[in-house]
Amino acid sequence: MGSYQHHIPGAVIVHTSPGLARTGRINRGSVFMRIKIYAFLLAVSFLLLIGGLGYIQITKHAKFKVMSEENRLKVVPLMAPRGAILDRKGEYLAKDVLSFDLSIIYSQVKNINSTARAIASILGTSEEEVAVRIKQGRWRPYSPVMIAEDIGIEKAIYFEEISVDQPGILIDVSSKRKYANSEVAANVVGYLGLINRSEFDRLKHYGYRVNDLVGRGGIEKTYDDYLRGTHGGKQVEVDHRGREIMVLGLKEPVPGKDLYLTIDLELQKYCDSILEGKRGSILAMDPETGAILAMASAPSFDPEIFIDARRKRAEVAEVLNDAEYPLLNRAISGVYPPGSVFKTVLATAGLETGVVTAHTVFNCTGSMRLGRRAFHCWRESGHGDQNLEEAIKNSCNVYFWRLGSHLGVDNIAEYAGMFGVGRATGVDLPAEADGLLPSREWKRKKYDEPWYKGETLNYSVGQGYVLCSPLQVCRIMSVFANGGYLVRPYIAESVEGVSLNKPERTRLDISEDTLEHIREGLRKVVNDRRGTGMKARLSEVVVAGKTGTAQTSRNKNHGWFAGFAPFDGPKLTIVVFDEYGGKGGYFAAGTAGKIFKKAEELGLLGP
Amino acid sequence: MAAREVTLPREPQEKYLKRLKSWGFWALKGEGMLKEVRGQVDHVLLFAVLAIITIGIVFIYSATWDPVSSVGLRTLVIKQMIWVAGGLLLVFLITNIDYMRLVNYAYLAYVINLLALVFLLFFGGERYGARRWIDLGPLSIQPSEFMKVTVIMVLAAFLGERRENAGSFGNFAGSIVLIFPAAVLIFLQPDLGTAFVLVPILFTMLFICGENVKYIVSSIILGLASLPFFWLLLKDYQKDRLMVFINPDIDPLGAGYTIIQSKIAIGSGGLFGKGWLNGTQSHLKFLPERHTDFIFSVVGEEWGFAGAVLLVGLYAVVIARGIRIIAGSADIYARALAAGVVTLLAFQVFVNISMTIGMMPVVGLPLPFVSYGGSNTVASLICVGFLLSISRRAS
Repeated sequence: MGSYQHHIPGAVIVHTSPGLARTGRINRGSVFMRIKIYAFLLAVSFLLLIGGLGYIQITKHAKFKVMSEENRLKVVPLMAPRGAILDRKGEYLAKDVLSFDLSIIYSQVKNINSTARAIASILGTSEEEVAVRIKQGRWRPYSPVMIAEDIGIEKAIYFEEISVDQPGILIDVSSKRKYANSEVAANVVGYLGLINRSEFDRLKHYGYRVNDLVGRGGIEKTYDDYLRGTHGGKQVEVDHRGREIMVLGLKEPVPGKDLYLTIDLELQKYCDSILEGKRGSILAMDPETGAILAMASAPSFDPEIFIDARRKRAEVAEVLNDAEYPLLNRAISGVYPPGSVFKTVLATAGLETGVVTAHTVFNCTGSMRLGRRAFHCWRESGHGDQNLEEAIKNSCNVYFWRLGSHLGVDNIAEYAGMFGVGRATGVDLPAEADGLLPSREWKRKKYDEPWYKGETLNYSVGQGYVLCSPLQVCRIMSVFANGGYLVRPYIAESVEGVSLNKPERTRLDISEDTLEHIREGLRKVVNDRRGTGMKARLSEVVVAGKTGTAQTSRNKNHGWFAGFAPFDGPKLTIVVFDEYGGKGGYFAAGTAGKIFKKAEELGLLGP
Repeated sequence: MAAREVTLPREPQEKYLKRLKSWGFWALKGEGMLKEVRGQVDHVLLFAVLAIITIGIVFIYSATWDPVSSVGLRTLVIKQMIWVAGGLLLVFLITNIDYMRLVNYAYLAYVINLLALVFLLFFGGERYGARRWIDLGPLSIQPSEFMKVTVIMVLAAFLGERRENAGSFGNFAGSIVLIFPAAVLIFLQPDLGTAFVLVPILFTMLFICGENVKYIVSSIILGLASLPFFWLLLKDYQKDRLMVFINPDIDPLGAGYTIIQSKIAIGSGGLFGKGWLNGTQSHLKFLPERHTDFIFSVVGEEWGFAGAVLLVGLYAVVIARGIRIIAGSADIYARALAAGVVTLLAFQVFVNISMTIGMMPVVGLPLPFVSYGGSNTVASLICVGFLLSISRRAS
């Protein structure tokens, strides 16, 4: 550029050009100066271009080369479906199902209005709404934007058909967790959540990915390793839409394993339905093995809301902030005073230490004095002379107060500890509570105070400091059902035919005689004319059990019923805990009766 | 108009016919039309343009080549070849017509072109959200492309007629008023890039025709000051593009996508490129609009820095010859016309390549002679025709 001067010597042109008439009155020299300036500006801009090209193609080449490779080669994750969670009969509680989602790629949509019309007519929604969603794709015109989720296979097929005429419509197939019966057994099955930063750092070596869902509660959490499969992946060469051009490598995903539970879904559903609208929990356990057939906790929640946080964030917040704590599994994580159910422990201690015999009689006048305080039995007129069996049947407080004061806190604590009070049962669920086993040492450590006699009386009837989870109560009751064994409860039965939990039980040092007397007492509770647990009575099978009413600081008490059936050769221990539900004899015992009846119908109480 | 009064000295017939034969145009030799000619056709310019056009076709082939379906010559390549052939015919005709004859029709051409744009505004079929094309059966014409040339012609006519007032405010204001309707109509399509290209054309032509520099400088300052107001007139997607230019990572899959993909394509080309038809960025279709506005990215990816510099160098040759022709123009009409077309070509080359390497925001301006597109190719070749016509009639 810029060599024009040689060819066009200005002065010559002025004299020779016949075109002078068309050159106007502009000074020749000034014109050439302007052309020079113009040429200079153009030269500079072209040098800028060369400089810019050199910068990206030479200086930054390495960086862009890597980016170009990354663009071209993609590892497409092949997500492994999560294993199903099934009940003992193979009915599913949770499983992965295919989910069809409708997306659009904005840049490929020819006509927004006709595409929106087509989509709206199939989805049955408003055209304007769909058009608005499509237009949001303007911001990312080359990547899919979700229009509708989980539209079902029929609609997905329609969309696949019309996508020929309506380019830009895309159906994504993904795997999605479905929980069979919404809120049924939600606290047992648990739920999934997106892996968080710290978990990911801890677990990434085990094949977890950033977007993985991990078990967040219940069985989903405990057995995450089995349920979670191993993701595979495909290394593919892709075009801009991520469409495969060529597969370069393939690693097949390994699906998660199916897990069978000890739960009986029918019984479970029944327990859940009974608790609907209430607060509390229900447990049904095989007293011989510790296999749990039903574990209900109310209020419950819908585990599916956690999977799709984007759409249901409000619902998640609602569950998390609910003052009634639906995420708390009241059967294992809630601890309460066991109330009169604890009298069975006292009775065992009394007989085993020889403080009383089955024939020892205490007179109940309706109250008992200790120092200057009077303790009142629940029956103000008193029960009269009570032996052990009768005291159990009538749940006579005075009898157990006297027994307790004879035993002393150390004996009570020893036997309560033997029955597993104050330590988690070891059930295969997360977040199990220990409960509380009070003792002289415990009190000194905790409050730096001595143990008072009045506290022994409270302790004797399952009040005061002592706290048990319903599952611990269930295990205590099972000791009388199975003839003196403390079992470890469990919920997962097997995976791929391999047992996950072998029944573990510890023989407690309790004589047959002792057990026999207490069992007889428990039988009378339900079956005698004036037993406190009459409402649990069934005509077909003999039910035994114990009611309980645990005083709380509020004016409403917790109701308990723990029992087993059939009396001869028990198959099932059932605990009903009714939070702030009032006296154990009413709702709790009645409910237990219904559940035994249901279990009997389901054939769970033996032939 | 004064044009017809002028007679240029005759050139010996034999010499002229010899040159015509040397061009290969044996059939056409209309003597009457050619008798005013005395200068030389600028062969360097012509061959540089032909080289660029060849590269263009080679890369339209590459950009539309699909490695999956492996279909060879695509219809777009054939279409482009037809347009190129038509354009070259126009080059020949215009070269051999005195540019003054064409300038005489400038106002008529301008009015017709304005009418075409008005027609588009109401009846144009929408494509990519803009009304730019008039469909004529298998072909479609983009009047705004021709409007760039028409505006240059009408400004040349206007400034030439008022050459006695060169440097006056009247010429300055009159030029702006004259092209204002064209700019507005193109802006409304909307076609921001094409509307904007009229601005440097106008300023360059005024500058070369001796306009008072203070008018030009102060209007540029005024223009920059009014940018915030201009922002309000922009369509959302145009705003996106400008925002993304400032930071493409705002939205890597959306509006910033093209810039990023284009930079990856060009940058990964390195010194010598991945080889023709081997550009992964373009063939796997990461790069949108790769046969039109972003074709330079394909050149940069497949031929690397060497090829990119070769292409830029060929444009530099065209521009340098253009400046030579401006300087050698026989009269103010020719000088204005040449300055306009050189600016048009240079500006489009600069803006187009700058945007592919992220030096400028993405505005829809094609790369002359290389980008696929009939109207643009023909309009660019008309520019070449003007330059050759002017060069032949140099003083």
